[in-house]
Amino acid sequence: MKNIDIKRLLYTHLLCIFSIILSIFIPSVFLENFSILETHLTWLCICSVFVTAVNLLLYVVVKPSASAKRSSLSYKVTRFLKCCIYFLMSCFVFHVIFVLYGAPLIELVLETFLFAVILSTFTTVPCLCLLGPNIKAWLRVFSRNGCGPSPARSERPLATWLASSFHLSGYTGIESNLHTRTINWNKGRFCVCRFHKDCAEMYMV
Amino acid sequence: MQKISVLLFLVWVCFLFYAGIALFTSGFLLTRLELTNHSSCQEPPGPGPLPWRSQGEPGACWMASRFSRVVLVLIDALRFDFAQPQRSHVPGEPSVSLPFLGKLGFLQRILESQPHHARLYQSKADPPTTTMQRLKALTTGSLPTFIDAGSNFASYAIVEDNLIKQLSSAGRRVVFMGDDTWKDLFPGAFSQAFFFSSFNVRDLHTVDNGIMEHLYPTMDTGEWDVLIAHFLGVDHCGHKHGPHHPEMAKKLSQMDQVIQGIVERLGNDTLLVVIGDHGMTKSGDHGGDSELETSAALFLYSPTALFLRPPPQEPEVVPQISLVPTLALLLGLPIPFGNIGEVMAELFSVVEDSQPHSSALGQATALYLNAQQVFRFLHTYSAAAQDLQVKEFHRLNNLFSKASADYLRLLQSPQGAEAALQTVITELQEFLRGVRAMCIESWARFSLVRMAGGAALLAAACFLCLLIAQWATSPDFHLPPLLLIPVAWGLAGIVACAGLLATTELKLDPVVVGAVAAVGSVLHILWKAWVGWGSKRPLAALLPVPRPILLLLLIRFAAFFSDSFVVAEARAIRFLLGSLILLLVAQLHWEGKLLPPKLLAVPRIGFPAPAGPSGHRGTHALGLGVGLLLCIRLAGLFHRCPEETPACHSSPWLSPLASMVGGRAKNLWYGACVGALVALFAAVRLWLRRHGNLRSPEPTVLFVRWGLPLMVLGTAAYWALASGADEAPPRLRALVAGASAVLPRAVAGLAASGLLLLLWRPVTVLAKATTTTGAPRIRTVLTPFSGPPTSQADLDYVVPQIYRHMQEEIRGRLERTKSQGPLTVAAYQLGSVYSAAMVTALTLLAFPLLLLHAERISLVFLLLFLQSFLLLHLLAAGIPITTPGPFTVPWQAVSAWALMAAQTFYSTGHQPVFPTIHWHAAFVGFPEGHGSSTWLPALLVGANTFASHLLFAVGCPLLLLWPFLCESQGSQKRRQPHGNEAEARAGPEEEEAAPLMEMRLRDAPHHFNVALLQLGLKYLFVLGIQILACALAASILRRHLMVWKVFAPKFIFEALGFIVSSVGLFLGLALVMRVDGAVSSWFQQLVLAQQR
Repeated sequence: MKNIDIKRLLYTHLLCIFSIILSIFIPSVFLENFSILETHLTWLCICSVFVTAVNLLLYVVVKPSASAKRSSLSYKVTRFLKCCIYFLMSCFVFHVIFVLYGAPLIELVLETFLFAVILSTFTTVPCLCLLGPNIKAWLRVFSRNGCGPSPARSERPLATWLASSFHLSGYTGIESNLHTRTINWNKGRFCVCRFHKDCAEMYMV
Repeated sequence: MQKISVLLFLVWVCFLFYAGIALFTSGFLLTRLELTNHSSCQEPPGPGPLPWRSQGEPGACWMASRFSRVVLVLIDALRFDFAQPQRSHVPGEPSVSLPFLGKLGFLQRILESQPHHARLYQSKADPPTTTMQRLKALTTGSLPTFIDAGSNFASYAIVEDNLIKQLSSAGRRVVFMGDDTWKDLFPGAFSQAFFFSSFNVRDLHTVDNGIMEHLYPTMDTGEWDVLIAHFLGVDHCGHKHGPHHPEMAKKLSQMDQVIQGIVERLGNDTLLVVIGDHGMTKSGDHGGDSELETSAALFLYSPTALFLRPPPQEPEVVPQISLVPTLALLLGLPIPFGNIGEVMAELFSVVEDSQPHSSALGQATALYLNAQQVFRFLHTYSAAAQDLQVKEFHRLNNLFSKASADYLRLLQSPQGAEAALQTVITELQEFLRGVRAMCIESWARFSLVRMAGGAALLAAACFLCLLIAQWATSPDFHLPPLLLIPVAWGLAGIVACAGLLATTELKLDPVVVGAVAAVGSVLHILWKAWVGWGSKRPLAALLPVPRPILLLLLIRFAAFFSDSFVVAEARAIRFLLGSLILLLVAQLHWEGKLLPPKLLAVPRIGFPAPAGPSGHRGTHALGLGVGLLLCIRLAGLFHRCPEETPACHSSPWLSPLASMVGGRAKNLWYGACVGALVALFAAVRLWLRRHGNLRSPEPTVLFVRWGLPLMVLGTAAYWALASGADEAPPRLRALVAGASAVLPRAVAGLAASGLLLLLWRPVTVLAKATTTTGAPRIRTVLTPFSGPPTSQADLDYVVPQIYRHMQEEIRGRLERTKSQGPLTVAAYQLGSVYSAAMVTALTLLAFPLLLLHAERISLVFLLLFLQSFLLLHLLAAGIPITTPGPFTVPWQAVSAWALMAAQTFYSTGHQPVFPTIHWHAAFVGFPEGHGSSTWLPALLVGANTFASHLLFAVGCPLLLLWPFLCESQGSQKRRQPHGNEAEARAGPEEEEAAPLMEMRLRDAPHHFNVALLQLGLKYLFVLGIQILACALAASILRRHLMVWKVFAPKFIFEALGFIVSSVGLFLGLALVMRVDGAVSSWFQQLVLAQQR
């Protein structure tokens, strides 16, 4: 099953890349005078929209069948709004980093911001889809000690993160299946489960 | 003594690098062979009789003279467009009124009214466009090579044949007035001369006024045949204000009047030549090969008609050195032997006889003579030097034979068609141009063997640094054998090499001998390494550099091989530095030191939160990182564009305040600069006070308290004078001039005396600690020792004990009094004794260096201190303190430090090209110039250029010391919350460890010395691979279009920077060792005092 998960992740990434390529060619059908170099701003927008769309689509397709509380509209709306705010924040953070790196402060500000947006779509949006708007979970994923006392795997945090992604991909299956899967998982790696709220709940069940 | 051997070892490694640099330089920067042959009247340039019209006439040499007198007006940096009219009606463009356009109105009028008497050319100067090279070229007709550019301020007499020499040997009276560079170039060649110092580029008027005082009277006396007037005002105005300044318009108008005055006094037999020796860039500098720098104006005028045809629409472009053969033949002189210029044929058409045939014949004759002379030179040169390309040489040979045969055939049948003559002219011109192209091509010849040897030696030295830095951590590391054996080998190499050279009777080249010695000494260690590593350990251990840092260093290494990356290095460095800082922050986060553990802790009961080793201390790291990035970004605002980068605007803040126009803005800026100074001073003072070192009654501390403010005051006063010197009322001029000479010297003297004081008494410790030490308890510690310690080993054993005991004593009192009074501070003083000395030394160094820069650079210096402070803190957060040693400074720290040094080099307004050197630094404290001495201005300019290299290299030991300093802050913070709680004794070992700080280093003297050695070697390695990359780039890309413009200057700057850095590093390490020695003797005194 690990192979299946890796494959799924690979397909996700391939789809993203494919969407980027599509974003180069499709708009030229609808828009006049479209080219990457001349109307680069438009392309940046379209590209980020495409990638976001692919990510959201995948999220919806492999959407976990949520519990009653999770399916309530208000919960969904707040979650979505939170995601939007996080995304915007990440855009601004990237923008600040670019300016600190040497991007001009006033001129070309639109270009810089759109660059921040596109980098955010490549990095933050998948994270939001996978981990949800949960800063603590993020921090734990991206630090060595994030897994707590699981010394066997703790030196390979990226592997754990990868594992968490597999986990989400594998989440589509039947719950019982998932349950056994989680139980049967390598003991050293079970901590990944905690990253996801749903998963944590799942584990407690 | 291990300290001595550490320093000697570093000296030896530096010697290896120097030998490599010297060997490479001797192979890379070659000079052209200068021939000392002379042309003479009696000896025609080629076989056969002298042609047409030259025989029998009086005063005729190779050709009959057309003018008996010449007035040569050399206006330094008279760019071609300075002589152009202000075009009022350019279609499509708005008419812009540039201050330098259309100011030579008289020239324009004369060009329009007398088209057959006057002509304007665009003369193309060959790079390097520095005045001395141009003067050499304008008199010898040759191509001064790059290496001459270095000797611009120590010019020597020209040994090659030249116009002035020909003139004086022909008995013509040459009168000179103007730039005193000519005095060095042509000593004793003038019948009358008025020299004026050219060095003070801020002085616009002295030279010009001096010339004008003498020019017309001399002309009127008539006691001259050739009159040369070299005006410097335009050039100095460019350097001081740039071409777009109203002052330039005034200067050009003045030149216009001068020319008008001369023309009014010209006789009919006189030729007037007005020429600019080079142009200037948009910022007013010169030296490179950009279009604006190489294009100069050339204006010819004679009261008799000169030209047959009216001028072309656009002025013709001629090489600058064409003037040499042209003037020689027009004056009836032999063309200088080494000339490779081509006569301006148009001037040799006979005007009185308007037959096309005879005019073409005149041109062909001049060209033929010229070609004969060039051919003779070429043959002599190729016999002497063999560095011309054989194939091209043969082609040119054939071309010349054909052309001369054609010419001689035409002479035999004088009624030949004009078309045939034109063909001959074309052939001769083709030959002359071919020769010139070939010479340009081959006078950049390299000695590949030396270059390869130099690069190999550099690489070996880098490898050695890496190796020893790795070895030093092993427990059985002993330095003296590592030092003595190579030195013995090196001496053997010297002896062998000298003996070999002596037996073969070759010239003893110090560069070669040094290189042989270096190779001899390094071979031993390399061999040992080969044996040791090949058998035992895997090769991967040879690269102890962590992978991200390795990648970073590789990127840095590779960037030297691309001209655009070298040109844009300022931005590349900022990027690399920013990335490294982000990496450091990310690494901290990775290791769990960035955020408090509770954020990361798992909210589960079963697992206790993993306690980070220094979780609290790291919370600031994020802020430090952001602050650093911000500092780098701000420092990036002070950037200077290299030449010829389109769409790049140099920061206006780099220019001195004196060049600002608005009074209010000037005042505001002045306030900001003084504010930066005060902030710098206050920050240092605050830091010292925080660590308690300001309480010591030592003279050094007294100097910091009272001497530093004086220096700040002196600097501020000097700036005020310098920025407002032009506005001073006339009565105060003398006072202002005197003060602006005295103030910088006073500041430098204060700094020097402060440094001497620091060297004398580097221990800044409050003596109170000694008086409060309880005597009876000390004795209990010292029972094993009766009598004074006799050896170093005894001391090493006793001193830490005493220190610990003092700590205990103080803590005991603390517990008793329950107060954290000055006694803890007394303990902290010892804890920061090394870094206090370092910081004081750096501050004292920084102030005179600051003075050499433009005022507004002081903001950059403030940023420099701030960002190195932040970086040290950030690095210290990531470095664990290993209590008994070994201490190491990680690679990322050393790399970040070196990168920051390079970044500051750029943000202080420097670029690795010659025109952007801040020459005005030579006048700080010497407003009148330096007279004949050259080393002092060179020192001042060098200190200005390599200020950042020096500061960072001297401050390098701080990388080792800082983590120990930060220890106190961490524990202080930790202790405070604990103190309020009931369980106060959180960790006894922590309590004890807290005040030890830098004394940990003293506790392990062996590890301390090894750490210093390792730090030095690592820093040398990081700098060494830069110079290695430069050398490799220069040798691989030696035929690159940009080699003389980008790679060669980069190599020279990098080499000089390396030398400055290594010296600075040595001084820094020596200072730490001096402090160490002083602390030892302090302890010794303490011991003696207790025993009494």
